[in-house]
Amino acid sequence: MRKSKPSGLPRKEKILSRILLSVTFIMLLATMVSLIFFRRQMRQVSKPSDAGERVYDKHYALIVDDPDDPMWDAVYQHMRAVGDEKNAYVERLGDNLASTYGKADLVRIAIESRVDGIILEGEESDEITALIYKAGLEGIPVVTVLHDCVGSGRVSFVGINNYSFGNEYGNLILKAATEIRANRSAQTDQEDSASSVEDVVRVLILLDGQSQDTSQSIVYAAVQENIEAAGDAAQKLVIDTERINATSVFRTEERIRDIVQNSENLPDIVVCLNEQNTASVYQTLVDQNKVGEIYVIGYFDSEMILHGIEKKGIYATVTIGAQQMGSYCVDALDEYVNTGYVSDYFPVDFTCINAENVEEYLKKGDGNETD
Amino acid sequence: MKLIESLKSTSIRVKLIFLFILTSTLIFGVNIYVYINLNAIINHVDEIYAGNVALTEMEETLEGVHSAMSEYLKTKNTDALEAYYRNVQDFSNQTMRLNQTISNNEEKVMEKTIRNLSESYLNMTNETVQAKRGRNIEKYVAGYENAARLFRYINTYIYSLNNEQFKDSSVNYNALLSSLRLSEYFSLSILVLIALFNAFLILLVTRSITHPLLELSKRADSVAKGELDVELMTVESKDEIGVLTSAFNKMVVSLREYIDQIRIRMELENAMKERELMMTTHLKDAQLKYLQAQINPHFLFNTLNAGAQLAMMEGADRTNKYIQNMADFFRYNVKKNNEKVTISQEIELVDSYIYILNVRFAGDIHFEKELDESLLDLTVPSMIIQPVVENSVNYGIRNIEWEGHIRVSLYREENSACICVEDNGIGISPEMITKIMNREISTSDVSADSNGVGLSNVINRLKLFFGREDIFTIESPGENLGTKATIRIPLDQDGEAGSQAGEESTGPEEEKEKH
Repeated sequence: MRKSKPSGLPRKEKILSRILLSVTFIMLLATMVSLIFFRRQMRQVSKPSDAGERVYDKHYALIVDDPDDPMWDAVYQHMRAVGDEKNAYVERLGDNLASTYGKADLVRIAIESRVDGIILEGEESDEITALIYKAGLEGIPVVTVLHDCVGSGRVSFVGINNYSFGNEYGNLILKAATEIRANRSAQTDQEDSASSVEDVVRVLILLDGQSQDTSQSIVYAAVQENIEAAGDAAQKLVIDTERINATSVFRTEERIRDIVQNSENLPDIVVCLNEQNTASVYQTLVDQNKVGEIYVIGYFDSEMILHGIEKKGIYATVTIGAQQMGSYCVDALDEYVNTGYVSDYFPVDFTCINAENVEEYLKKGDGNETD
Repeated sequence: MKLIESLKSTSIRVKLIFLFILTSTLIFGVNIYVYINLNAIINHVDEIYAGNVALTEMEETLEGVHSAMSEYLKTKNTDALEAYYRNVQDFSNQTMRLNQTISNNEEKVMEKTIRNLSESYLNMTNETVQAKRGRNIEKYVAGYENAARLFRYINTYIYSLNNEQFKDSSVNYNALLSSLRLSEYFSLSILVLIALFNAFLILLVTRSITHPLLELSKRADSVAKGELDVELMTVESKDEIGVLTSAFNKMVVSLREYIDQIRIRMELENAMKERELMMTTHLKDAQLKYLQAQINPHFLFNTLNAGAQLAMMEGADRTNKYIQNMADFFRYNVKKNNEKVTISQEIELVDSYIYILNVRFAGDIHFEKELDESLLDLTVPSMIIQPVVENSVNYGIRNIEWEGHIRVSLYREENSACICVEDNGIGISPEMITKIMNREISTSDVSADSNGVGLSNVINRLKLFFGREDIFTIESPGENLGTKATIRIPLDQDGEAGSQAGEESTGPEEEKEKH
């Protein structure tokens, strides 16, 4: 009896079943992978940055005039760092509110929401004074920073010595004036013509038009005193002041532009007493291609200013120790909350940065606008 | 593999059911999977916006508190007061859910601020409402102003928090949306894969069903065309097709066997026919040889006749007579062997025989005849009387001491003609008579004096010729008292019986009777 030879069917079926199995396996794998992927995605979504959350004992509120000022950014970062150490959370009050509140409203909110302490950029207004007083009554200590509010019952003040600050500016102005004169004499020697008028060095000090505290006048007074003390060198220095009103948002920028563009009364030295003005003046000079024609003496050590110094667009800048200021504020509050007592005044150091030492600040800064 | 093995052993019905359930389950599974994913996403969206919903509710309640208070302050309306208390209760409950801890999570800090501000606000409104009740106008006006300010603050905070949460939610929502899209792709691709897989599976299973059927029908076609030598199919499955296949295989095998059998039978038949043909040929050949053998006696008779004529011419009358008798005897033998003859012819043969014997044995035998003349023309089968006489000569009187007599008589007895042959020889014992009558005695050797026709042959032929059993009898009174053999021929029909007459064997059979 002839037996059927092994036909191709079983072999084919074997291959087919193998394919079938592998397809099933792949599908199973795909399903698993997608399920895992999906779950992970879901978990990521459901996790609203709880990871780094920390609970604190105390809640301090920081209230300043211009929260967007890079200086305050730097100071706030340090406050947070020191606060973390002391188990206190420092909140930049009003930072993420939909509407912008003034300092007084913010202080009221701080009081009504019963924070454990307030760090306030002080001002010499009755309203603020009364609010600080009220906070004292409610048992909320207030530390003023940068600008004081005398007679308000604030527990402590952290800030610079305005007199020494002014002296530092005075020194810088004299130094710059000397350089300017030296440049001029070099030029006139070459051109063989002299003019006595050319010896006059014009200085423009930009003041904050809104500020109502006395610190600016103290600085200004110190500058003048310092220059007068220099004797002969001061004779041919013409000092002007310009109050820049920051009532509307872009006013500062426009006004500075006007001054720099007015070539007839172009100052030789421009002194800025805040970071924003410094940045505006420098930017305008760059735009107008007048870098080097005007000596800019600025304030604070933001990255932009440091780069300005590096490129000789800014002559020098005076900066306060943001880290020091931040830590002093939190320390002062913490000390008061814990003990009931604290020093009345914490002086903050300031330093002068010019082309000679800008390198080390740039290195240190490394994108972080602090010293 | 095991699955496929077990699948093979199941019936098509089970296979199809299994297939249906499997594919349905797969599709169902994928649907469940998609549904679960979708559900999770929907729940998530709910979760994401739950905070926003709560804050919005809170905002509305706060609005309710404030407007109820204002209403009450304006009108001192009790309904407004009730509404105020109800809203205050709601609002307190809602604020209770807010975070209280100081955390570095800005939203939580905002919640804490809202909670504390709300407490201050509710205190303030309470004081204000109390002042209104106490008609302390100054206090309630101042209180209202403070409360309004706090209301603004809280509103701003709630609004801002709502915004912040909404921003987060949007980020989450975007992430969710992308994952939704992703899961959509996954689901779709898995669905497509499953559908492909299902199609493949169905193809495979239906193919496993139809392929053997096609194969089977192909072979059935071949068988129908007469190609019985087709390959047998291997039975791979134990389902209905397997059963069909094995039945088909069995059918093919038994068809082959059947056809083989038919062939063998036909071959056998052919062989038999061939043999039959051979036999007839041989018969014809034998007959031919027999005829040839008959020719010689004629030649012998003619020669003998020539001898007799010679003897007559030479005047040797006795020799002439002897040769004449001898020739007559042999001629009769040859000529009448198969024919019907008259009794007289038979008597003449007996005369010739006795004459020859008397010549040979010098007249030892005394022969007598007593004949009814009217019966001499009756026809009988040839060669019936002479063998009986020969038997009497050989076994009755050959070796006796006294004078041997043989007597042949023909007479009528009732409706029969009797031919009786008597001798005075040694006789036969009754046992021997029985044996002779039953034809149990057979002799192989032919006696030298025999003409070749034996006694049993005679009895057979007579019985066949006349169709009767009692046609031949032998009697013997005792030892040495002789024997009497009688042939009774029925007379009512002229003695001519049926067709069987005379065709009896011509073989040289002879009865040998021992005494």
